[in-house]
Amino acid sequence: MKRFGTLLLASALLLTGCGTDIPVTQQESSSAETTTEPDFMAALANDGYDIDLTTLGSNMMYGQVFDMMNDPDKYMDKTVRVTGNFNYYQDPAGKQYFAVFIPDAAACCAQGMEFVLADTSAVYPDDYPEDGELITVTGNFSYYTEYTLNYCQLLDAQIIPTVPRKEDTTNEN
Amino acid sequence: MNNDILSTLQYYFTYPFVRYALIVGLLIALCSSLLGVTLVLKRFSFIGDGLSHVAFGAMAVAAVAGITEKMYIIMPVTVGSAILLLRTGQNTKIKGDAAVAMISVGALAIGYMLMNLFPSSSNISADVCSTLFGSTSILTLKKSDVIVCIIFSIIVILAFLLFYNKIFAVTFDETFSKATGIKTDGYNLLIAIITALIIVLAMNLVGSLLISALIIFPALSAMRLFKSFRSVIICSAIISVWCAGVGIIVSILASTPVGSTIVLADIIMFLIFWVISLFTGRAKA
Repeated sequence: MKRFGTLLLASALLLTGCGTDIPVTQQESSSAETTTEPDFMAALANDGYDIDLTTLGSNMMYGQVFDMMNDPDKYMDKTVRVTGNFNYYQDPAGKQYFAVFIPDAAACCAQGMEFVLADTSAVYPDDYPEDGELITVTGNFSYYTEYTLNYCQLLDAQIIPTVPRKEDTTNEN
Repeated sequence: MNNDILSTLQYYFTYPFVRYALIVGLLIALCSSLLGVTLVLKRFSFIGDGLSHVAFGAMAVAAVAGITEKMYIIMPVTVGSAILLLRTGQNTKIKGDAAVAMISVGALAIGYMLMNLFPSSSNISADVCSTLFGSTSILTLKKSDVIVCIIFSIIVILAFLLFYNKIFAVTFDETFSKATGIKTDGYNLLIAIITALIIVLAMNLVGSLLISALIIFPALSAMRLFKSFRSVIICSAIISVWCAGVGIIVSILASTPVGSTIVLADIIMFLIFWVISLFTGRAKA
């Protein structure tokens, strides 16, 4: 029993170690945003894109896209690459919206990111993928405000050959 | 392989929302485990479930009413229900478990009905799923959410430490405690308020349906091996924090639902403790 108690104590110490590390990082990020933010943004850069969401697992991608929706100014004009499911919507006024949907791990929630193709002559449905098809979109991050809500979009967007998401490649391996 | 996991983890920890998730997750796990032992011993294991459904119903009302700060509705309604259930549970015609079950399913049904009749967004199923199962809401916390969680956690921990002896007395023998002059009603009220606080906080972590697991499993696991109130609480806190930490990290690395992964870690820990108790002869028949 004493051994087990020692084991529990060791576990507690290990977690306490984690616990003290995290607030320190947290403190750094709050007291000097510049210390952590560049690392965080640098970590997102890949393959020439400022923010490459294809390197993240579904939970991480969902959390990251939420952050982009929540604090869009931080990401303004950054080049973004994202893989998700194509989604088309037309409002009653006839305006068309094209979006890439990023589901969470439980697949019950999804964050959508609108995109506007650089090719202005593209016509739906001929020049767009099937609804729900897995696609990879690149573009410059931007947002607009409608009825006090912010909507994020990728401008000058391109649909490129699909780059598998992190969990897709993991599952294949 | 290990280096890959470590470097991925290191990479993920550069994201503020991952650090927020871990801080909030560990704090909620710690708070829920402290109270879990008391609730299990008072035969109120399912109160977490009941109150979380009440919180779900209150959240639906807040969403329908278009209230941005839903916490202003959720917190008082949940605290009120907790007081009704825990404080008066012994002296009413509808006794503890029946009252919990009644409030639980009633609030759930009303909440879901309201969300369907007056949808606040176009995706009701996602809203409901997110609230019931937590989904990834723990990864969408803002700095203000983390601060609120830290403040509430400090209140819960301080209250527990300051009134530890009284909570111990009320937990084991309420009648005797009353006879010795302890204001049991007041302490039951305190337990009710703390329970409601934890439930509302924990909804972000594991969702309404899985909150009970955070309260029950660590306490029951600890009770397999330890017998004194203090040792059970300390062990329960360690188990809960450990499982929450492991669950969050695994879910981020393996892209699994956060709440379910934490609960799975709790179940595994319970099984480990149960097996150990068989060998150490501490298992009950």
